[in-house]
Amino acid sequence: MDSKDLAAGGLLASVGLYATVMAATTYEIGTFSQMGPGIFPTIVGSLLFGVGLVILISALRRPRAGIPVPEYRSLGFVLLALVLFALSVRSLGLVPAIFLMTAAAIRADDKVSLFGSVPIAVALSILSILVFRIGLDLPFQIARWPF
Amino acid sequence: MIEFASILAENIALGMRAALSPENLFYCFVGVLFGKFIGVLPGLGPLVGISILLPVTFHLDPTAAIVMLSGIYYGSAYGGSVASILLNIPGTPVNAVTCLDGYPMARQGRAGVALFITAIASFFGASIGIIFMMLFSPLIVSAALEFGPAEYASMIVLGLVAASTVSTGAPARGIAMVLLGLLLGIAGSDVQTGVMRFTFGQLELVEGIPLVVVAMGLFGVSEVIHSIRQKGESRVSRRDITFRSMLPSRDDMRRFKGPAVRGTLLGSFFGALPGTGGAIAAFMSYAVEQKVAEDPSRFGKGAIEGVIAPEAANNAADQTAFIPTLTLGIPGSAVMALMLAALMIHGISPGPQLMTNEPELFWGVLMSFWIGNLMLLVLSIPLIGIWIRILLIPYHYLYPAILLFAAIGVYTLNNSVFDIYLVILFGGIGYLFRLLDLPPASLLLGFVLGPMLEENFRRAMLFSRGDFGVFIERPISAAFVAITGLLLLINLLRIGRTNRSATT
Repeated sequence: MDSKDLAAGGLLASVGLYATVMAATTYEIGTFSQMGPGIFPTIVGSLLFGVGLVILISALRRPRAGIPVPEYRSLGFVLLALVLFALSVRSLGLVPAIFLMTAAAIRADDKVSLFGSVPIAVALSILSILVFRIGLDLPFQIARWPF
Repeated sequence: MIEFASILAENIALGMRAALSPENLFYCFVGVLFGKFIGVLPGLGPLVGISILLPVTFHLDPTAAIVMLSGIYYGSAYGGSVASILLNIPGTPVNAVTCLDGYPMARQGRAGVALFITAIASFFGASIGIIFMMLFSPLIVSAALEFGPAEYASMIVLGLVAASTVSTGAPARGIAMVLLGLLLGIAGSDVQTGVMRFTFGQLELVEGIPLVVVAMGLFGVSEVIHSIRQKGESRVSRRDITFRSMLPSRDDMRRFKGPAVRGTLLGSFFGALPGTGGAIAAFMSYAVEQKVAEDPSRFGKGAIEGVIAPEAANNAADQTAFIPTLTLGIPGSAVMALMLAALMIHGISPGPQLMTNEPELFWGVLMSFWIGNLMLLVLSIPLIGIWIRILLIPYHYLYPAILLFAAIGVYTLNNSVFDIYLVILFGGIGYLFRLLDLPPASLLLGFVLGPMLEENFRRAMLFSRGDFGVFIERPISAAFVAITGLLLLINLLRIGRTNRSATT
């Protein structure tokens, strides 16, 4: 069994099924000459369900490679870096957000230490202020006290 | 004929004036410089580069926006050959074939010659591609002005099917991702009735999921997640390449013309078709050179034809890829879908009326291609030493910058933190797609073309009073439907065959 195809097909088929049911039951279908908002998503959703099933079924008869092991560390730290930026850009300002973000992002790998992220953050801060605050004149707060 | 020529001359003058304005010159330079930069760095391609700079273009004039984004695109093809030759790693996918003979040339101490000749071949291919575009665009536009909603709907379907099946190894996955993209494109309020669809009660989604968010998540963030722990140390000798070592011998120059012309013609052809493009064109032209060579055994061991032809081909293809995008409003690849989206963001509706309604934009962008390619020639030959040093930048200094620009860019769209969370969501989903081998480029095409497809489909059906026959009674639409059917049939056979060969 090809677990990669199995997972991909299963995922696609279930999204397709969900969209079809949701569109067909909640949005107006109309007629072919006066199409309602529901008809297009219903068609697309059922096609997706069909293609997903094809991928799923063909996986059952095929012995092949499984899903590669995800890089959990990269995934976690990259998404954490973005969350930190989202949380802090308004309350603390642009530059503190950049420092927090860089510190988290850099830990996705062992090549640079936490302290080593400081010069990168400084460079990125200067670059972003030049491009976004000065170059494009966007209303960013460089830094502020949250209290 | 004379009339055609004089109109063309007028348009060229108009375009040149627009392209030579200080603002457009500046953004052209920024675009090609950034494009060359991301092209040189393996693992960063035009999709990542354009996604990152897409939000910036919201604050620019539409001509400057497209000039810059296109610069990134064709600039990356110039840059990509540097890594192919020096490291045997293609800088971008379209430069993969260049490794075959470029790297052996470098090992024979002829890296300088290879770099020089690829820059010249790229410029040659791009120039001819631009000329094709100047000549054919007006013709295609005059034909397309006759198109009604039925033609549009079937043309979009053909474009989507071709782009997601032709050059991919897994047609079923490509089509599924197009369909998923169409569904995502539906989210938001329905244009015709105002009904909210797939918004899950989120007020932020009323106007649909922003394209920038999808592109940034799928191409920027998930690419970073995938690449961080993949990168080995780059092994390029720090030895500088002198200008002297770049000069090709008389024998090299004698071999230039044939491969360059053949590569350019193949590239121009495949670039304009949906689904094919630079990578396929480069591969085909390499195969052709092997066929016509007096001594095919030289290939793979540093034959200069093996770098000239593919590089001429992929750069010609990069230019002609703009033909369907700018004349019909139908992008043939994900990069072109982003280009189209950048136009729509500025309220410009793409299609055959673009050339007549916005002649300054159309011809200005076209003429900027000349300027951009000239800039790239200068950036590539005298400044080669700088690019070799850039090749040495380790990835762990780069990816925090990519993430930061993604986050800031998305945030500046609507000053909305919600959009950053959407990027995080799409970044995660994109990484899952990558693990499952689901092509995100197909999804993006569906996402961009979805609303256009639905609108034209509904209008065609309205005019025909619900009769599906309209798609096959009109001859042009019928031709599109027939080609689509043929493509699907071929792919069905392909799926059947791969399954059988896998089970035995």
